[in-house]
Amino acid sequence: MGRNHFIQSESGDNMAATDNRADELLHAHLAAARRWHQGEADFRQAFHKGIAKRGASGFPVWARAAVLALVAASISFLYYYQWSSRPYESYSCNVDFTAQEGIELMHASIATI
Amino acid sequence: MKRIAIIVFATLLLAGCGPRKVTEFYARYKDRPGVNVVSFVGYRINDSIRADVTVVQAVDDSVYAALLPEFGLTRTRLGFQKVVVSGPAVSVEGNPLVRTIGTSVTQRSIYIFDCESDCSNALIQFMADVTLEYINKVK
Repeated sequence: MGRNHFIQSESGDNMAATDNRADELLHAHLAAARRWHQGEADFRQAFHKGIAKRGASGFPVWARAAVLALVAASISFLYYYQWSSRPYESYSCNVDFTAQEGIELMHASIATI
Repeated sequence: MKRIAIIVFATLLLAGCGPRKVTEFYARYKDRPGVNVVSFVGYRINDSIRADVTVVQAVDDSVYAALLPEFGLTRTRLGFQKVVVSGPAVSVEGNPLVRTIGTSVTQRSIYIFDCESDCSNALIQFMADVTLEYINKVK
């Protein structure tokens, strides 16, 4: 825009003024660009720092660890409860006997001659 | 977070769908025609002792008669007396086992208890309890 003004000017003063104005604008743009780049660099730094500190989800690391520990404890408890509530670790049968029917067959085999 | 959740669920899925543990005799008889096999790995005998239990049941007398010699049992030895044979054995992994084999003519079945330690006293108590419970139930 400044350069267009310069071309259309007829007097030397105007030309110099326009030239100065163009330089000012250029410097202003360069300064803005530098600030923008610096701002971007600062933002990047802050963003990565934030991720390291709080995680991508925005949750603090300690909160995530607590949630994970809670989930793991719940799964362990349920697994242990299920495991301890039945009298065997693993049951298999080649016909469609349920585990209860299998236990009844075992008991009947033991108890009868 | 999402990655960790995926890993946790994949591990659970693999654990749930992994190969189920079976006893040695289950693996041997599961495809035999005319034979029902039931296998319990880690069956609780009492609060501290667990045993691997297999029950092999023949669907008819001829299959039962054919099965008995495979366990070192014969009809003449059986008579009307219940036969329970105990002795050392070795697990698939090579660990020493105490094996107890018994049979029931009525049920046409043979049952095998494998313990990793000498569980004879616990097993006798367990069998006595089961028998008493069965008798009370049938009454």
